[in-house]
Amino acid sequence: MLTILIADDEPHVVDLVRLTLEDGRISVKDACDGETALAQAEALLPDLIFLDVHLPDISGFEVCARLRQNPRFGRTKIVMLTAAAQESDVARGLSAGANHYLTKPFSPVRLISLVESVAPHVPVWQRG
Amino acid sequence: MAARIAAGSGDELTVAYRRLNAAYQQTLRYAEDVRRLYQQVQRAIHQSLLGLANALEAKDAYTKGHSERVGAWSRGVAAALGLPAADVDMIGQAGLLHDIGKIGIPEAVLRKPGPLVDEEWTVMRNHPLIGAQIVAPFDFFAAGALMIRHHHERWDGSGYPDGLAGDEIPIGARIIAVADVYDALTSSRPYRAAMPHATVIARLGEASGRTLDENAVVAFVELIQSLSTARPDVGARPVHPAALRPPLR
Repeated sequence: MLTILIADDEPHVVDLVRLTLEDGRISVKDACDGETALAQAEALLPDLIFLDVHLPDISGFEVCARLRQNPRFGRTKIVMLTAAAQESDVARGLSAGANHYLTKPFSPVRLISLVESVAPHVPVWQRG
Repeated sequence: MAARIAAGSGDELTVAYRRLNAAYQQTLRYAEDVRRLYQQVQRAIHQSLLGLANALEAKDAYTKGHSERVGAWSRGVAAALGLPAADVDMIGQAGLLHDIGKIGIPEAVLRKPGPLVDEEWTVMRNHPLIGAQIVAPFDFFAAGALMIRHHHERWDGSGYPDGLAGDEIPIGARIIAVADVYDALTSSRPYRAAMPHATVIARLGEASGRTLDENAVVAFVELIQSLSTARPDVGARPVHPAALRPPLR
């Protein structure tokens, strides 16, 4: 089972990610702010975390940096969710320790291929 | 106080608008992908069916032109009968692949340069069943598989493999049967010349309501007489080397 945590305060984004990815082999958990994301990450030790840059309490960059300071998350893949126009956010996220970024509005195909690249042993959506 | 409330409401409206707009833009992005993926799926379906038709052509070159004509004419008849667009597509595809089961027929029978004996006919008559089995893995093509299975049924119940009669026979199979008979009779065989278009049309009229569905015959005749692909010149056509075998009966 692949566990994915998404930290975003927009319910429609969380719903779309869950609708797109969740099935019998992928579990999607969510957090609506940075502190909740850190607590959820500690509790779930997810394989992949989507972090919105603009969380209501602490920024996604801060959450990413704090996760990277903890060796428990050494293998956890982190993807920053950034606004399309904010290229500086991309560089900032990568320097904070993120593996990838996904610009909003995001393509479901890009979302799926990104998850498959992170976890190639768990094909997204049933095949065959 | 009133001014502060108004300012606060304005900010809230701005935030709400931004959130709504972001959600709207995100929805558009998903819709664009759905449309693109749907088109890709449709293309992949079409290409996979063409690939199957190519496989049959590699084994039996004669069937290429035959399959394509029967597919195109079946599609035209289905449209003329007012069937839904999805059914028209399916019938056209099933027409293209109606003989795909010949892949499973031994070459000694398929390419025999002369009339088949009874045992060979028994083998040849398996091709609708083999064809339906070949396309069985395609869930989207379940109706097409039935058309392939039943394209040699006859309106009066004297056909094969199941001896279905009348409306028991899928409409697509009844349409394909008419196009199949027309194309077989207007094609040359080693033991007989191609029949003229007018003669074959008369034959279809005789079979109408007996072995062939009357509605399908009427629609087919109207279609074929309106098309430049009608074949009044079939007598002049050269015999294809791979056509050295009798028509299916």
